[in-house]
Amino acid sequence: MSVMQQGLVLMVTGIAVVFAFLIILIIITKFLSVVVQKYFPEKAVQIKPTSPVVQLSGSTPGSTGRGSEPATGAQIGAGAQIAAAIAAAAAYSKR
Amino acid sequence: MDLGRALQGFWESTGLVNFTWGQTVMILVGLGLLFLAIKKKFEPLLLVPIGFGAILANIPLAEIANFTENGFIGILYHSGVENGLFPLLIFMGVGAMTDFGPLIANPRTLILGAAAQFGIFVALLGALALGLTPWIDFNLFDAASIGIIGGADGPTAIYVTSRLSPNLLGPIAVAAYSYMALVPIIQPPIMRLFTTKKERMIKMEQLRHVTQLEKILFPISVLIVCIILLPTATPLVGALMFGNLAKESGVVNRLSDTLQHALINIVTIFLGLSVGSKMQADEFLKLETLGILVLGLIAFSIGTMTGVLLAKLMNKFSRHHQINPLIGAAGVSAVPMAARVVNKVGQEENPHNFLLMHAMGPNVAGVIGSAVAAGILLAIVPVFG
Repeated sequence: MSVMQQGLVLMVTGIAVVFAFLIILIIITKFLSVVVQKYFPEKAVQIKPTSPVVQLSGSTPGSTGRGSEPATGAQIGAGAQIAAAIAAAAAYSKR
Repeated sequence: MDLGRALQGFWESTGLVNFTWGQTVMILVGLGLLFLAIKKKFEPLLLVPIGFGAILANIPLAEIANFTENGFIGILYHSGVENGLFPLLIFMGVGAMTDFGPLIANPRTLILGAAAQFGIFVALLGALALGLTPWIDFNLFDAASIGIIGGADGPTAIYVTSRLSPNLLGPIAVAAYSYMALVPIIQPPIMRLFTTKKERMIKMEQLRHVTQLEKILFPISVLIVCIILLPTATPLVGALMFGNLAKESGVVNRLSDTLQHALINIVTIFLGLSVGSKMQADEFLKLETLGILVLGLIAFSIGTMTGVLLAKLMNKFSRHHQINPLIGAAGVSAVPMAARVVNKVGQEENPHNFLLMHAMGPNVAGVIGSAVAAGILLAIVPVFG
Protein backbone atom coordinates (compact mmCIF):
# COMPACT_ATOMS: atom_id res chain seq x y z
CA MET A 1 0.00 0.00 0.00
CA SER A 2 1.40 3.38 -0.93
CA VAL A 3 1.67 6.10 1.66
CA MET A 4 -1.16 8.07 0.09
CA GLN A 5 -3.43 5.03 0.23
CA GLN A 6 -2.59 4.61 3.89
CA GLY A 7 -3.45 8.25 4.37
CA LEU A 8 -6.81 7.81 2.66
CA VAL A 9 -7.63 4.73 4.75
CA LEU A 10 -6.70 6.69 7.86
CA MET A 11 -8.94 9.55 6.76
CA VAL A 12 -11.97 7.38 6.10
CA THR A 13 -11.67 5.36 9.31
CA GLY A 14 -10.84 8.46 11.28
CA ILE A 15 -13.84 10.46 10.15
CA ALA A 16 -16.11 7.42 10.51
CA VAL A 17 -15.01 6.71 14.07
CA VAL A 18 -15.21 10.37 15.15
CA PHE A 19 -18.75 10.62 13.80
CA ALA A 20 -19.77 7.23 15.22
CA PHE A 21 -18.36 8.17 18.63
CA LEU A 22 -20.14 11.49 18.82
CA ILE A 23 -23.42 10.10 17.45
CA ILE A 24 -23.36 7.41 20.13
CA LEU A 25 -22.71 10.18 22.62
CA ILE A 26 -25.71 12.14 21.31
CA ILE A 27 -27.96 9.12 21.78
CA ILE A 28 -26.66 8.42 25.28
CA THR A 29 -26.92 12.06 26.32
CA LYS A 30 -30.49 12.33 25.05
CA PHE A 31 -31.45 9.08 26.75
CA LEU A 32 -29.93 10.12 30.07
CA SER A 33 -31.60 13.52 29.89
CA VAL A 34 -35.00 11.92 29.36
CA VAL A 35 -34.43 9.50 32.25
CA VAL A 36 -33.15 12.19 34.59
CA GLN A 37 -35.94 14.61 33.78
CA LYS A 38 -38.59 11.96 34.19
CA TYR A 39 -37.42 10.13 37.27
CA PHE A 40 -35.04 12.51 39.00
CA PRO A 41 -36.40 15.99 38.38
CA GLU A 42 -34.45 18.69 40.16
CA LYS A 43 -36.46 20.01 43.09
CA ALA A 44 -37.39 23.62 42.72
CA VAL A 45 -35.20 25.63 45.05
CA GLN A 46 -37.28 26.82 48.00
CA ILE A 47 -36.99 30.53 48.39
CA LYS A 48 -37.42 31.50 51.99
CA PRO A 49 -40.01 34.19 52.49
CA THR A 50 -37.44 36.88 53.12
CA SER A 51 -37.64 38.52 49.73
CA PRO A 52 -38.44 42.21 49.98
CA VAL A 53 -41.63 41.82 48.00
CA VAL A 54 -43.12 39.45 50.54
CA GLN A 55 -41.87 41.26 53.58
CA LEU A 56 -42.43 44.82 52.53
CA SER A 57 -45.68 44.54 50.67
CA GLY A 58 -47.10 41.88 52.94
CA SER A 59 -49.88 43.33 55.05
CA THR A 60 -49.28 40.89 57.87
CA PRO A 61 -47.05 42.71 60.30
CA GLY A 62 -47.51 39.96 62.81
CA SER A 63 -45.69 37.47 60.63
CA THR A 64 -42.31 38.77 61.63
CA GLY A 65 -43.18 38.77 65.26
CA ARG A 66 -43.32 35.03 65.73
CA GLY A 67 -39.78 34.91 66.92
CA SER A 68 -39.17 31.62 65.18
CA GLU A 69 -36.56 33.21 62.92
CA PRO A 70 -34.14 35.27 64.93
CA ALA A 71 -32.44 36.68 61.85
CA THR A 72 -35.62 38.02 60.30
CA GLY A 73 -34.90 41.61 61.18
CA ALA A 74 -31.50 41.50 59.57
CA GLN A 75 -32.96 39.72 56.56
CA ILE A 76 -35.55 42.41 56.10
CA GLY A 77 -32.77 44.94 56.23
CA ALA A 78 -30.82 43.03 53.57
CA GLY A 79 -33.96 42.59 51.47
CA ALA A 80 -34.74 46.26 51.64
CA GLN A 81 -31.20 47.09 50.67
CA ILE A 82 -31.42 44.79 47.66
CA ALA A 83 -34.75 46.32 46.67
CA ALA A 84 -33.25 49.77 46.91
CA ALA A 85 -30.27 48.67 44.81
CA ILE A 86 -32.55 47.19 42.14
CA ALA A 87 -34.68 50.32 42.06
CA ALA A 88 -31.58 52.48 41.74
CA ALA A 89 -30.22 50.31 38.94
CA ALA A 90 -33.57 50.40 37.13
CA ALA A 91 -33.75 54.17 37.49
CA TYR A 92 -30.17 54.51 36.27
CA SER A 93 -30.78 52.36 33.20
CA LYS A 94 -33.85 54.44 32.28
CA ARG A 95 -31.89 57.69 32.21
CA MET B 1 50.20 38.03 34.23
CA ASP B 2 47.83 36.62 31.64
CA LEU B 3 45.58 39.63 31.54
CA GLY B 4 45.52 39.42 27.78
CA ARG B 5 44.39 35.84 27.79
CA ALA B 6 41.75 36.55 30.44
CA LEU B 7 40.35 39.40 28.40
CA GLN B 8 40.35 37.25 25.29
CA GLY B 9 38.54 34.47 27.19
CA PHE B 10 35.94 36.96 28.35
CA TRP B 11 35.55 38.37 24.84
CA GLU B 12 35.01 34.91 23.44
CA SER B 13 32.30 34.20 26.02
CA THR B 14 30.22 37.29 25.22
CA GLY B 15 26.99 36.95 23.31
CA LEU B 16 28.37 39.27 20.67
CA VAL B 17 30.99 36.85 19.33
CA ASN B 18 28.97 33.67 19.54
CA PHE B 19 25.71 34.71 17.92
CA THR B 20 24.78 32.91 14.74
CA TRP B 21 22.43 34.63 12.31
CA GLY B 22 19.80 31.96 12.99
CA GLN B 23 19.79 32.69 16.71
CA THR B 24 19.43 36.39 16.01
CA VAL B 25 16.45 35.69 13.76
CA MET B 26 14.79 33.46 16.35
CA ILE B 27 15.31 36.01 19.14
CA LEU B 28 13.65 38.57 16.90
CA VAL B 29 10.78 36.12 16.36
CA GLY B 30 10.51 35.74 20.14
CA LEU B 31 10.39 39.51 20.53
CA GLY B 32 7.73 39.59 17.81
CA LEU B 33 5.62 37.10 19.78
CA LEU B 34 6.03 39.23 22.91
CA PHE B 35 4.90 42.26 20.92
CA LEU B 36 1.78 40.41 19.72
CA ALA B 37 1.03 39.31 23.28
CA ILE B 38 1.64 42.59 25.08
CA LYS B 39 0.65 45.22 22.56
CA LYS B 40 -1.97 43.35 20.50
CA LYS B 41 -3.23 41.20 23.42
CA PHE B 42 -3.17 37.98 21.34
CA GLU B 43 -3.50 35.09 23.80
CA PRO B 44 -0.96 36.67 26.16
CA LEU B 45 -1.18 33.73 28.55
CA LEU B 46 0.39 31.56 25.87
CA LEU B 47 2.49 33.93 23.85
CA VAL B 48 4.35 35.60 26.73
CA PRO B 49 5.87 32.32 27.97
CA ILE B 50 6.37 31.00 24.42
CA GLY B 51 8.01 34.19 23.19
CA PHE B 52 10.24 34.42 26.23
CA GLY B 53 11.12 30.76 25.97
CA ALA B 54 12.13 31.31 22.35
CA ILE B 55 14.46 34.12 23.37
CA LEU B 56 16.02 32.15 26.23
CA ALA B 57 16.55 29.06 24.08
CA ASN B 58 18.53 30.97 21.47
CA ILE B 59 21.09 32.53 23.76
CA PRO B 60 24.54 31.27 22.76
CA LEU B 61 26.61 29.36 25.37
CA ALA B 62 23.86 29.44 28.03
CA GLU B 63 22.33 26.14 26.84
CA ILE B 64 19.09 26.94 28.69
CA ALA B 65 17.06 24.52 26.57
CA ASN B 66 19.64 21.75 26.68
CA PHE B 67 18.60 18.93 28.99
CA THR B 68 22.01 17.24 29.07
CA GLU B 69 23.60 20.53 30.18
CA ASN B 70 20.95 20.88 32.91
CA GLY B 71 19.44 23.93 31.26
CA PHE B 72 16.32 24.74 33.25
CA ILE B 73 13.89 24.84 30.34
CA GLY B 74 15.51 21.70 28.98
CA ILE B 75 14.63 19.99 32.25
CA LEU B 76 11.04 21.24 32.06
CA TYR B 77 10.75 20.04 28.48
CA HIS B 78 12.24 16.66 29.23
CA SER B 79 10.09 16.02 32.28
CA GLY B 80 6.73 17.20 31.01
CA VAL B 81 6.51 17.70 27.26
CA GLU B 82 8.54 14.84 25.86
CA ASN B 83 6.47 12.26 27.76
CA GLY B 84 3.12 14.00 27.23
CA LEU B 85 2.52 14.80 30.91
CA PHE B 86 1.88 18.54 30.74
CA PRO B 87 -0.85 18.34 28.06
CA LEU B 88 -2.78 15.90 30.23
CA LEU B 89 -2.46 18.14 33.30
CA ILE B 90 -3.70 21.05 31.20
CA PHE B 91 -6.63 18.91 30.08
CA MET B 92 -7.63 18.32 33.71
CA GLY B 93 -7.75 22.07 34.21
CA VAL B 94 -9.67 22.55 30.97
CA GLY B 95 -12.16 19.91 32.13
CA ALA B 96 -12.64 21.70 35.43
CA MET B 97 -13.27 24.96 33.59
CA THR B 98 -15.64 23.47 31.02
CA ASP B 99 -19.39 23.64 31.38
CA PHE B 100 -20.95 20.89 29.29
CA GLY B 101 -24.40 22.33 30.06
CA PRO B 102 -25.00 23.88 26.61
CA LEU B 103 -23.97 20.60 25.01
CA ILE B 104 -26.27 18.51 27.21
CA ALA B 105 -29.14 20.92 26.53
CA ASN B 106 -28.65 20.61 22.76
CA PRO B 107 -26.81 17.31 22.17
CA ARG B 108 -27.05 17.39 18.39
CA THR B 109 -24.41 20.13 18.37
CA LEU B 110 -21.98 17.31 19.23
CA ILE B 111 -22.02 16.41 15.56
CA LEU B 112 -20.58 19.82 14.70
CA GLY B 113 -17.59 18.98 16.86
CA ALA B 114 -17.10 15.91 14.69
CA ALA B 115 -17.43 17.79 11.39
CA ALA B 116 -14.70 20.22 12.31
CA GLN B 117 -12.21 17.34 12.59
CA PHE B 118 -12.19 16.97 8.79
CA GLY B 119 -9.34 19.44 8.68
CA ILE B 120 -7.11 17.04 10.62
CA PHE B 121 -7.33 14.35 7.98
CA VAL B 122 -7.13 16.68 4.99
CA ALA B 123 -3.92 18.16 6.39
CA LEU B 124 -2.66 14.64 7.01
CA LEU B 125 -3.08 13.85 3.32
CA GLY B 126 -1.47 17.17 2.45
CA ALA B 127 1.53 16.35 4.60
CA LEU B 128 1.88 12.95 2.95
CA ALA B 129 1.74 14.60 -0.47
CA LEU B 130 4.44 17.06 0.60
CA GLY B 131 6.46 14.10 1.83
CA LEU B 132 6.55 12.74 -1.70
CA THR B 133 8.38 15.83 -2.92
CA PRO B 134 12.18 15.64 -2.88
CA TRP B 135 12.63 18.65 -0.57
CA ILE B 136 10.57 17.63 2.41
CA ASP B 137 10.64 14.36 4.30
CA PHE B 138 7.38 13.57 6.09
CA ASN B 139 6.37 10.00 6.92
CA LEU B 140 2.96 8.83 8.15
CA PHE B 141 3.84 9.54 11.79
CA ASP B 142 4.84 13.10 10.94
CA ALA B 143 1.75 13.58 8.79
CA ALA B 144 -0.56 12.46 11.61
CA SER B 145 1.12 14.84 14.03
CA ILE B 146 0.84 17.70 11.57
CA GLY B 147 -2.81 16.95 10.86
CA ILE B 148 -3.74 17.14 14.52
CA ILE B 149 -2.93 20.87 14.43
CA GLY B 150 -6.32 21.10 12.70
CA GLY B 151 -7.91 19.98 15.96
CA ALA B 152 -7.00 23.48 17.15
CA ASP B 153 -6.21 22.08 20.52
CA GLY B 154 -2.68 22.80 21.72
CA PRO B 155 -2.51 20.11 24.44
CA THR B 156 -3.90 17.42 22.12
CA ALA B 157 -1.44 18.37 19.38
CA ILE B 158 1.50 18.19 21.79
CA TYR B 159 0.32 14.90 23.26
CA VAL B 160 -0.04 13.21 19.87
CA THR B 161 3.22 14.60 18.54
CA SER B 162 5.15 13.54 21.63
CA ARG B 163 3.91 9.99 20.94
CA LEU B 164 4.24 9.84 17.17
CA SER B 165 7.04 12.13 16.00
CA PRO B 166 8.78 13.92 18.87
CA ASN B 167 11.32 15.48 16.52
CA LEU B 168 8.59 17.77 15.14
CA LEU B 169 7.30 18.90 18.55
CA GLY B 170 8.74 22.38 18.22
CA PRO B 171 7.16 23.56 15.00
CA ILE B 172 3.90 21.67 15.60
CA ALA B 173 3.43 23.11 19.08
CA VAL B 174 4.25 26.57 17.83
CA ALA B 175 1.84 26.20 14.89
CA ALA B 176 -0.96 24.80 17.07
CA TYR B 177 -0.67 27.54 19.65
CA SER B 178 -0.21 30.34 17.13
CA TYR B 179 -3.32 29.34 15.21
CA MET B 180 -5.29 29.14 18.43
CA ALA B 181 -4.17 32.69 19.11
CA LEU B 182 -5.05 33.72 15.58
CA VAL B 183 -8.61 32.30 15.64
CA PRO B 184 -10.15 35.81 15.58
CA ILE B 185 -8.25 36.55 12.38
CA ILE B 186 -8.42 33.22 10.53
CA GLN B 187 -12.01 32.17 11.15
CA PRO B 188 -14.31 35.14 10.40
CA PRO B 189 -13.54 35.43 6.66
CA ILE B 190 -14.17 31.69 6.19
CA MET B 191 -17.37 31.90 8.23
CA ARG B 192 -18.64 34.81 6.13
CA LEU B 193 -17.65 33.12 2.88
CA PHE B 194 -19.81 30.05 3.48
CA THR B 195 -22.87 31.68 5.00
CA THR B 196 -25.43 34.16 3.75
CA LYS B 197 -26.39 37.26 5.70
CA LYS B 198 -29.78 35.70 6.39
CA GLU B 199 -28.20 32.57 7.84
CA ARG B 200 -25.90 34.59 10.05
CA MET B 201 -28.94 36.36 11.48
CA ILE B 202 -30.75 33.19 12.53
CA LYS B 203 -31.78 33.38 16.15
CA MET B 204 -31.70 30.18 18.15
CA GLU B 205 -34.17 29.21 20.81
CA GLN B 206 -33.01 29.53 24.37
CA LEU B 207 -31.27 26.53 25.90
CA ARG B 208 -33.15 24.63 28.58
CA HIS B 209 -31.95 24.32 32.13
CA VAL B 210 -29.66 21.33 32.74
CA THR B 211 -29.83 19.58 36.11
CA GLN B 212 -26.77 18.80 38.18
CA LEU B 213 -27.38 15.07 37.86
CA GLU B 214 -27.15 15.31 34.07
CA LYS B 215 -23.91 17.23 34.40
CA ILE B 216 -22.51 14.53 36.68
CA LEU B 217 -23.61 11.69 34.41
CA PHE B 218 -22.21 13.28 31.24
CA PRO B 219 -18.45 12.99 31.94
CA ILE B 220 -18.93 9.47 33.22
CA SER B 221 -20.84 8.37 30.13
CA VAL B 222 -18.29 9.97 27.78
CA LEU B 223 -15.53 8.12 29.59
CA ILE B 224 -17.39 4.81 29.39
CA VAL B 225 -17.98 5.18 25.64
CA CYS B 226 -14.31 6.01 25.26
CA ILE B 227 -13.20 3.03 27.33
CA ILE B 228 -15.28 0.71 25.19
CA LEU B 229 -14.58 2.18 21.76
CA LEU B 230 -11.23 3.87 21.85
CA PRO B 231 -8.93 3.17 24.81
CA THR B 232 -6.08 5.08 23.13
CA ALA B 233 -8.04 8.28 23.63
CA THR B 234 -8.64 7.68 27.34
CA PRO B 235 -5.57 9.54 28.63
CA LEU B 236 -6.87 12.75 27.05
CA VAL B 237 -10.59 12.12 27.54
CA GLY B 238 -10.00 10.69 31.02
CA ALA B 239 -8.05 13.74 32.19
CA LEU B 240 -10.70 16.05 30.72
CA MET B 241 -13.58 14.19 32.32
CA PHE B 242 -11.83 13.86 35.67
CA GLY B 243 -11.47 17.63 35.81
CA ASN B 244 -15.08 18.09 34.77
CA LEU B 245 -16.43 15.62 37.31
CA ALA B 246 -14.40 17.30 40.05
CA LYS B 247 -16.21 20.50 39.19
CA GLU B 248 -19.72 19.18 38.60
CA SER B 249 -19.85 16.76 41.52
CA GLY B 250 -19.70 19.73 43.87
CA VAL B 251 -18.08 17.69 46.64
CA VAL B 252 -14.41 18.37 45.88
CA ASN B 253 -14.47 22.10 45.32
CA ARG B 254 -10.94 22.42 46.67
CA LEU B 255 -9.60 20.07 44.01
CA SER B 256 -11.67 21.66 41.30
CA ASP B 257 -10.45 25.08 42.37
CA THR B 258 -6.82 23.95 42.22
CA LEU B 259 -7.30 22.37 38.79
CA GLN B 260 -8.93 25.50 37.42
CA HIS B 261 -6.41 27.96 38.73
CA ALA B 262 -3.18 26.93 40.43
CA LEU B 263 -2.45 23.75 38.51
CA ILE B 264 -3.33 24.95 35.04
CA ASN B 265 -1.47 28.21 35.58
CA ILE B 266 1.69 26.48 36.73
CA VAL B 267 1.60 23.97 33.91
CA THR B 268 0.88 26.73 31.39
CA ILE B 269 4.08 28.49 32.48
CA PHE B 270 6.11 25.27 32.16
CA LEU B 271 4.50 24.28 28.88
CA GLY B 272 4.76 27.72 27.34
CA LEU B 273 8.46 28.08 28.15
CA SER B 274 9.13 24.54 26.92
CA VAL B 275 7.26 25.05 23.66
CA GLY B 276 9.04 28.34 23.07
CA SER B 277 12.37 26.68 23.73
CA LYS B 278 11.82 24.40 20.76
CA MET B 279 12.12 27.40 18.50
CA GLN B 280 15.87 26.93 18.35
CA ALA B 281 17.44 28.20 15.18
CA ASP B 282 19.10 24.97 14.05
CA GLU B 283 15.90 22.95 14.49
CA PHE B 284 13.33 25.55 13.57
CA LEU B 285 14.67 27.35 10.50
CA LYS B 286 13.98 24.53 8.06
CA LEU B 287 11.74 24.00 5.06
CA GLU B 288 9.73 21.43 7.05
CA THR B 289 8.68 24.14 9.50
CA LEU B 290 7.26 26.23 6.69
CA GLY B 291 5.37 23.18 5.41
CA ILE B 292 3.97 22.54 8.89
CA LEU B 293 2.85 26.14 9.32
CA VAL B 294 1.09 26.13 5.94
CA LEU B 295 -0.54 22.71 6.47
CA GLY B 296 -1.66 23.72 9.96
CA LEU B 297 -3.36 26.77 8.55
CA ILE B 298 -5.06 24.65 5.87
CA ALA B 299 -6.20 22.10 8.47
CA PHE B 300 -7.63 24.85 10.62
CA SER B 301 -9.43 26.57 7.77
CA ILE B 302 -10.95 23.35 6.46
CA GLY B 303 -12.14 22.42 9.95
CA THR B 304 -13.88 25.78 10.20
CA MET B 305 -15.43 25.31 6.77
CA THR B 306 -16.73 21.77 7.32
CA GLY B 307 -18.18 22.79 10.69
CA VAL B 308 -20.15 25.61 9.08
CA LEU B 309 -21.23 23.46 6.12
CA LEU B 310 -22.50 20.64 8.33
CA ALA B 311 -24.48 23.12 10.40
CA LYS B 312 -26.12 24.28 7.15
CA LEU B 313 -26.83 20.69 6.21
CA MET B 314 -28.47 20.07 9.58
CA ASN B 315 -30.81 22.99 8.92
CA LYS B 316 -31.98 21.26 5.75
CA PHE B 317 -33.19 18.32 7.83
CA SER B 318 -34.70 20.13 10.74
CA ARG B 319 -36.88 23.09 9.85
CA HIS B 320 -38.30 23.64 13.31
CA HIS B 321 -35.15 24.00 15.34
CA GLN B 322 -32.94 26.07 13.09
CA ILE B 323 -29.35 26.46 14.10
CA ASN B 324 -27.20 29.38 13.15
CA PRO B 325 -24.51 27.88 10.88
CA LEU B 326 -21.91 30.18 12.41
CA ILE B 327 -21.80 27.98 15.51
CA GLY B 328 -20.40 25.17 13.35
CA ALA B 329 -17.15 27.11 13.18
CA ALA B 330 -16.78 26.70 16.94
CA GLY B 331 -16.45 22.96 16.40
CA VAL B 332 -12.69 23.39 16.07
CA SER B 333 -12.04 23.36 19.85
CA ALA B 334 -9.95 26.46 20.70
CA VAL B 335 -12.15 26.97 23.76
CA PRO B 336 -13.51 29.54 24.37
CA MET B 337 -11.96 31.77 21.74
CA ALA B 338 -13.79 30.15 18.81
CA ALA B 339 -17.16 30.53 20.54
CA ARG B 340 -16.44 34.18 21.25
CA VAL B 341 -15.58 34.72 17.60
CA VAL B 342 -18.90 33.14 16.58
CA ASN B 343 -20.72 35.47 18.94
CA LYS B 344 -18.88 38.47 17.54
CA VAL B 345 -19.51 37.60 13.89
CA GLY B 346 -23.18 36.95 14.68
CA GLN B 347 -23.53 40.30 16.41
CA GLU B 348 -22.05 42.12 13.45
CA GLU B 349 -25.26 41.21 11.59
CA ASN B 350 -27.64 41.48 14.50
CA PRO B 351 -26.42 43.11 17.72
CA HIS B 352 -29.21 41.45 19.69
CA ASN B 353 -28.30 37.91 18.70
CA PHE B 354 -26.39 36.19 21.50
CA LEU B 355 -24.79 33.07 20.12
CA LEU B 356 -22.12 32.59 22.79
CA MET B 357 -23.86 29.88 24.81
CA HIS B 358 -25.07 28.14 21.64
CA ALA B 359 -21.53 28.13 20.29
CA MET B 360 -20.15 26.70 23.52
CA GLY B 361 -21.91 23.40 22.69
CA PRO B 362 -19.98 22.67 19.48
CA ASN B 363 -16.92 24.28 21.03
CA VAL B 364 -16.61 21.76 23.87
CA ALA B 365 -17.78 19.02 21.49
CA GLY B 366 -14.76 19.96 19.41
CA VAL B 367 -12.49 19.23 22.36
CA ILE B 368 -14.00 15.76 22.67
CA GLY B 369 -13.90 15.35 18.88
CA SER B 370 -10.23 16.22 18.56
CA ALA B 371 -9.36 13.98 21.51
CA VAL B 372 -11.18 11.14 19.75
CA ALA B 373 -9.41 11.89 16.48
CA ALA B 374 -6.13 11.88 18.40
CA GLY B 375 -7.03 8.48 19.84
CA ILE B 376 -7.67 7.11 16.35
CA LEU B 377 -4.36 8.40 15.04
CA LEU B 378 -2.55 6.92 18.05
CA ALA B 379 -4.30 3.60 17.49
CA ILE B 380 -3.94 3.22 13.71
CA VAL B 381 -0.75 5.01 12.68
CA PRO B 382 1.64 2.68 14.54
CA VAL B 383 -0.10 -0.29 12.87
CA PHE B 384 0.63 1.16 9.42
CA GLY B 385 4.04 2.50 10.29
